Amino acid sequence: MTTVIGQRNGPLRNVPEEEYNMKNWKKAIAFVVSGAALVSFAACGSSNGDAADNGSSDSGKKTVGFVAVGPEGGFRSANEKDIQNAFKDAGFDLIYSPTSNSDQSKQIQAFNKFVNDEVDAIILSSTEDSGWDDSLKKAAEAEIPVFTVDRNVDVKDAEAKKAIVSHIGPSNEWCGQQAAEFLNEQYPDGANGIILEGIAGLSVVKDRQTGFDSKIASNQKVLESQSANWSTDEAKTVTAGLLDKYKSEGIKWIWAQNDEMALGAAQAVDAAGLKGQVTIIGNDGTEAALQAVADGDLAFDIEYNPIFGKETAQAVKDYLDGKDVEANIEIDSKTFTKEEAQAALDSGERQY
Amino acid sequence: MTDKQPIVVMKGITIEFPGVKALDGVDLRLFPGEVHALMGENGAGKSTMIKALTGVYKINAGTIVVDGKPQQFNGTLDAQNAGIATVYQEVNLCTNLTVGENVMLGHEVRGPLGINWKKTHEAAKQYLAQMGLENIDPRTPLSSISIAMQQLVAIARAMVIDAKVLILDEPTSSLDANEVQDLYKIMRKVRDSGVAILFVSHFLDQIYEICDRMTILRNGRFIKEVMVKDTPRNELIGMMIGKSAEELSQIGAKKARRAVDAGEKPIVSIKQLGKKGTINPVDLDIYGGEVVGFAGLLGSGRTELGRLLYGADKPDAGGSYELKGKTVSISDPYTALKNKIAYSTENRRDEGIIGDLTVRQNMLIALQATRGMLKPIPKKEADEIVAKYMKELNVQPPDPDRPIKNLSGGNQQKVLIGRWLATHPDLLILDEPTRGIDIGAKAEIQQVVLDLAEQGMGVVFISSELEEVVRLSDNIEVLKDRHKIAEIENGDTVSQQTIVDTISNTTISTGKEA
Amino acid sequence: MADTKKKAGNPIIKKLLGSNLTWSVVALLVLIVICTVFSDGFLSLRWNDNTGGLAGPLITVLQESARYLMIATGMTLVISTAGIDLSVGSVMAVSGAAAMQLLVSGVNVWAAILLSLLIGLAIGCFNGMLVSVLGLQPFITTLIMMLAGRGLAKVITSGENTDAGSVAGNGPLKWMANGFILGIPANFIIALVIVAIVALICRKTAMGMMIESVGINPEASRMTGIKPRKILFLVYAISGLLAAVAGLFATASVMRVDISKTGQDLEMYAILAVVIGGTSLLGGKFSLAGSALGAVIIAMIRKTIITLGIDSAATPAFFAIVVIVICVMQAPKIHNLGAEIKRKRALKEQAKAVAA
Repeated sequence: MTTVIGQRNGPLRNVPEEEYNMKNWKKAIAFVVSGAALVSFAACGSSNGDAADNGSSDSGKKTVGFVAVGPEGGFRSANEKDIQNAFKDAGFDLIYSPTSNSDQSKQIQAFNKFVNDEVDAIILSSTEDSGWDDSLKKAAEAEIPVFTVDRNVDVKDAEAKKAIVSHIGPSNEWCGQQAAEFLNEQYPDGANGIILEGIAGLSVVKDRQTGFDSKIASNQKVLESQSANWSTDEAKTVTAGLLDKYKSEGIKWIWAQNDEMALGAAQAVDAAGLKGQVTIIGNDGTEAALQAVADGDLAFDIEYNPIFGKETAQAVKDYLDGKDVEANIEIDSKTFTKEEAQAALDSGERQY
Repeated sequence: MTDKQPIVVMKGITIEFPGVKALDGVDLRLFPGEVHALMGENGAGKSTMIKALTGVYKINAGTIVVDGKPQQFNGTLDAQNAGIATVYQEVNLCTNLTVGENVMLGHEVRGPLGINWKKTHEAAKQYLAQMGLENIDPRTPLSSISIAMQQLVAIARAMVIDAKVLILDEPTSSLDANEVQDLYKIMRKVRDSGVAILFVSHFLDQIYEICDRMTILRNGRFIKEVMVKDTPRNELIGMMIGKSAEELSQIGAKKARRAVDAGEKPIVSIKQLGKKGTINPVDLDIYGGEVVGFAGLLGSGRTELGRLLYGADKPDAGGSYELKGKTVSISDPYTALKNKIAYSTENRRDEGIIGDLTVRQNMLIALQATRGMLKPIPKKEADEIVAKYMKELNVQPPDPDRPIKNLSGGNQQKVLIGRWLATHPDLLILDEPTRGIDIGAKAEIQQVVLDLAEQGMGVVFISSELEEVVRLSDNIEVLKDRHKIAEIENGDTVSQQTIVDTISNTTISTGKEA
Repeated sequence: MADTKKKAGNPIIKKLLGSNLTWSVVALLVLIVICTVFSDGFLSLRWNDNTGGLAGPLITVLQESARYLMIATGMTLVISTAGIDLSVGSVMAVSGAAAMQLLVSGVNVWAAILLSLLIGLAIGCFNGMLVSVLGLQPFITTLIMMLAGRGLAKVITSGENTDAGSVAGNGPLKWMANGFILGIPANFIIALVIVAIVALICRKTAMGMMIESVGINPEASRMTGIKPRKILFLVYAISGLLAAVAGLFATASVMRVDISKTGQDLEMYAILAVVIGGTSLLGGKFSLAGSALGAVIIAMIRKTIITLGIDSAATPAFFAIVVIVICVMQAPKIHNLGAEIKRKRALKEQAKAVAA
């Protein structure tokens, strides 16, 4: 990075650099300023070629930009910590750039800055699946390989698609499938249930739903799907409402698309005096959820394995060394029943 | 005269507010090339009538015909479009804009790139020049010129709209004698160009000097339309208040200062109290039971000295403030009230009334503030205070639960005086208490001032009307250009002329300028 | 005129029609009716032995409205001084995060409650100081605090969604949000009591009048001896404290803080509740009863969204429509529409007669 700083000769290039440490409340101002800066970048075209060698600087270390989500919960911290450590171990220079409150615009700024700085590779853990076409196209033009992790991105532009080398992460579709299969097993004769969705429009939500739909038996009846915005508190309210609404039908199972919502649903079920009568499934394998499975509050939890830093670093290394890399590297995840959850908790090995 | 056709005919105008009929079948005719006075006491319906003509209020019955066309005003814009321009009692301009922007607001000169400010300001300068205000730079912020000047700017603004009718609602209340003459010059010019002027003023002299015709209202009803030159003053006053006003105008006529006993301590004694930029250091003693008048022109520092005594502005260090022999530091209104000093502002709308609160709340709020937020005035005590001052000050309508903003100016003023009296001050500073209110209420307030002094209270009486200062005061402090230039003990030889002479004959060495 | 006379004859009805409260009650009833039509069990109440209280859709509405009641009450006072407090949602997250984190680290539950309330109060005082002493604009000040508060919550929990569900001795806090008093949700009763106390303090002391006075005309208020700075400081402090209570309700309900979701967007709900309650955003006269009703309406709108199964993408639009309809119903122009039409017709006829 020292070279980059040394080469900061124009005011246009300084602006986004400083954003890294920008406090939250400056976000709005920063957004406007850097928006203007981005326009100027486009106008500058390739005049920034002098920065081309900054990645392979004197130390010989490769520079990798990590467009990350930042503090969001247990999964995210474990995931991002693991990636940072793995790249350090593999001898990369990783620049970590988290956003806040799932703000995609800040991610796009960071991404574009990495492209502009001509890093050797970009790791993208996007908050939203769409809206990346322009940035990816720029990366493709600059011939910077992009590796998407955790959440896949939805790219329409063929040019932009070229930038993405590989997607690394557990499969959200697989998660949905596991939930559906567990339910099919529990209720071979079919039962009524509800689904608590995450924030509408996210790729995770769509993928988990697709997986679920592909496996759920036709005799399972989904009474209603409602969004509880990933929130425990909202899930409790929504579940309480739906338990009242479908009192006559009788809700037998609840599939929550993440653990936070599953925990909320469990509390609503408990308050309604239906504890043990409703099968609740969570997703993500957080400690709190595993504890709830072990305690019998949840019936089943599907892990969404955050530990794939090593695999990501390997993929990046292979690609930069000229080796072939698979377009989709799926990370194995586990599922937990009551006994498995207890065992996992007892082992004390889980990092999240 | 008789073949002239009126440009505005209002007939049978009725306006009702919840519970009251503000106007009941009032007629008004305005003729081009005439100045028409709308006469009546406070609450007679003058302001309401004007608001009906300017589209502020919607009428419940009656007709308005302008230039032969029946009109229904649903807003001020309708009235403006019909050619009716208004300058209100309290200046209604944007103080954060420049003079030029205010004059041209809504009529800016446009160029290909939006508003051409240069040309707009040039146009504004022309309009100002037409009114003899060529020495005002249209680019100065409005807030930096005096209220009197702002008033004239407001009139210039009204002329930008090519008006058939110009309404001047109390334009003179904040102007001094010279400025009033300037205004007349402009009014005559405007009148001679064929515009009908509707003029409201509480100064009878002004009416007789400038007006041709007048309509008299009382209690929301039409009394009579007369020609000014055919109507003697006492007849006019009789029509306005329903009785002779002669005894009212004889209030006070004080001709000597109350004797101060040897060794008597003044209520307030200040030495070298001043504030840079507003008033130079002043020495002043005020004794209980006397009325001290502050006389001076607008901007002389008379209001500033009053505010300093009250702590509304913080005095500079170096002066001393003694209260009944004890040194105090009066740096804010709360401390002043705690020390039994009260100040009634000249700026009733911005610093006096709290519009949406009721008359009752407005009357009690200062007393409440001195007692502290958590010690509410007991209901019985509050009821007694409110009832007492509503009655003593003759507040109309006598309903304490009405928002104060719905009262007429004079009655708002009475409520405010009640507010200060409720704190039982030793020293009451009244800044322009009679401005913008009618002759009846004025006389009532003057009587109150004398009664208070009689009861032993010290009263500071600030007014731009020298006549009432001379009539009411025991002692007159004369101010000029932010200096106290003289202290005149009232007596047989003292008249308005004495003060005018003092002001014009005193020169201030600029070295001492604040 | 005939219609004015007729109206004057029915002063009570006229007063009722003109009151915001009436229209709020009507709106609330309409929403309940809509829900009942869509879900026949909506009005059903039953005893739940498990929780020791009543259960049913309306009960959960009351439970959820508790937090809105708190922030709407604080917001009412702030708005009455012509200010605004955008930080309430973030303060909820901070106090909730503090409570959960303290519980997890073994602090006594009462101490945890007290400390988290104090943190809310402290943030409120900080807002108040910036607005009153330094004279910063309330919008900017509290906007900063809204963004910084969320960061603070993250710092408190080190970025985790702290779960205190299994901490021993968390009973009292859990009861605050989930318990029942005589079958009625405890949090709703606590909230009502707090609103009543605030209202009593406002109306039985001179606080209410002084707050309104400062909101209507700060300079005139200063001239009466009121210290506007003190009043401003006070309202922001109260708002912060009440937001902390709301934060406890929100987190104790599930004994878990969600640092990015707890209290999210709730400042907007609070402002809407105040507006529905009839307090002008320009400051001045305020109605705590109106805001309280507004808070319950907000909870009811959210319940309606769940009951009707409105698609999550459409919920903001639904929310907006309901609030707009309520505000329109309350607008005086709408009430006077009938009289206005008659007035115009009469004037037109008179004008015709004159022209003729």
